[in-house]
Amino acid sequence: MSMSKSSKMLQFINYRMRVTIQDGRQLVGKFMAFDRHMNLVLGDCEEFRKLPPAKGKKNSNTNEEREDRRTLGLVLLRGEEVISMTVEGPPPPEESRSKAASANAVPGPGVGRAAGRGIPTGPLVQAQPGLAGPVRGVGGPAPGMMQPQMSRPPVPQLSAPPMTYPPAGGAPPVIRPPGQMPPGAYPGQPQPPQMPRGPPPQVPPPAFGVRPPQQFPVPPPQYGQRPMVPPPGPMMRGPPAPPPPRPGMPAPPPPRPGMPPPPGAVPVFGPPRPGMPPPPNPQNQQQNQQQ
Amino acid sequence: MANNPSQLLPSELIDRCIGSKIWVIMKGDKELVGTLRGFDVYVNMVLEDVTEYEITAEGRRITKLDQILLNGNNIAILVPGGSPDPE
Repeated sequence: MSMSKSSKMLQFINYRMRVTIQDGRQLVGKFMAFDRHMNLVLGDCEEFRKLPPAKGKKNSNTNEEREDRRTLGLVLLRGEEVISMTVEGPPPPEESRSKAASANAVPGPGVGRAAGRGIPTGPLVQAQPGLAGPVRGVGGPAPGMMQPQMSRPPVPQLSAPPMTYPPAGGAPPVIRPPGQMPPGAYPGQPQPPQMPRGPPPQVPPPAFGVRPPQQFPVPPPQYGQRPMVPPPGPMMRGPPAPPPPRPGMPAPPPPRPGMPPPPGAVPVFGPPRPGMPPPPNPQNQQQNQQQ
Repeated sequence: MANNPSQLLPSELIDRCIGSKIWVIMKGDKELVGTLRGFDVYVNMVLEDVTEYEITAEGRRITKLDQILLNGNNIAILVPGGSPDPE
């Protein structure tokens, strides 16, 4: 026989089987499962003691022959106890199928279900995937994990944009003072005091690199700024901040520690340079301060 | 035998019974009903709140036990959740 031991057993899965055990009892139930020990799982199981109904197929003789009969339900029978087993229920799985379709409640039909399952069991491959299916289903979490992962990447991305926006939001107040200094504004956004220095940072390389990202944020920030306009207060606050450094006109030297040689007016004019020559610069600065 | 396509392996069935009532029918005329706390590879079992039924010619003798370790060697049948009818 090409059929393996397991398949010999498998061919009866979902059949209603009569199992004789060592103490002489017989168990009749739907053969649902077995293992290498021949432990059996029997569904809707009934136990018959003493006189075996034996060969009588069905219940016609049961009352007379069987002294003791009781219903056990779902049963796990130890393999060690098994003496023999024989088909009790509908041998043709097809019948069971139709019955299963009709009604599950009836014990007999219950077998029907089994038949449906049993047939696929014929080929081991199909049955195995069936079992594997549920197990993998448990693995279902794995897909879940996949989803979270999918979400994760977006999250950081989402988080990133917000990160940029907040600076933009904060920028508006800062930006306005630089507004006059459009170029300076970009670098200035991060740090207003640096605005004067802004022009130098505007140097081509940073400007190009910065522009694309800044431009995008800029338009929205401008819109944002407009609404923000009503609260000029904060805007004013922005400017006040620069003034402190400016009163620090002496301060300029500190920011320009690198510029020790032109500590005097020169450093002051220095920042304005990009904007205008020395004279206008002070005016602009003053205007900025006033604004 | 390695691959068993049957839907629920017997061992899995027992595992599912942990924590719930189980009806144990021994090889002899002895049965126990209790809450399954655990079992091992031999299906030795720890049972709690056990009621033992011993069927004798004279009738049924009932013994109640709080907790027992049941040797799996004499177990014949396990019935998950079931309890013997009040015979």
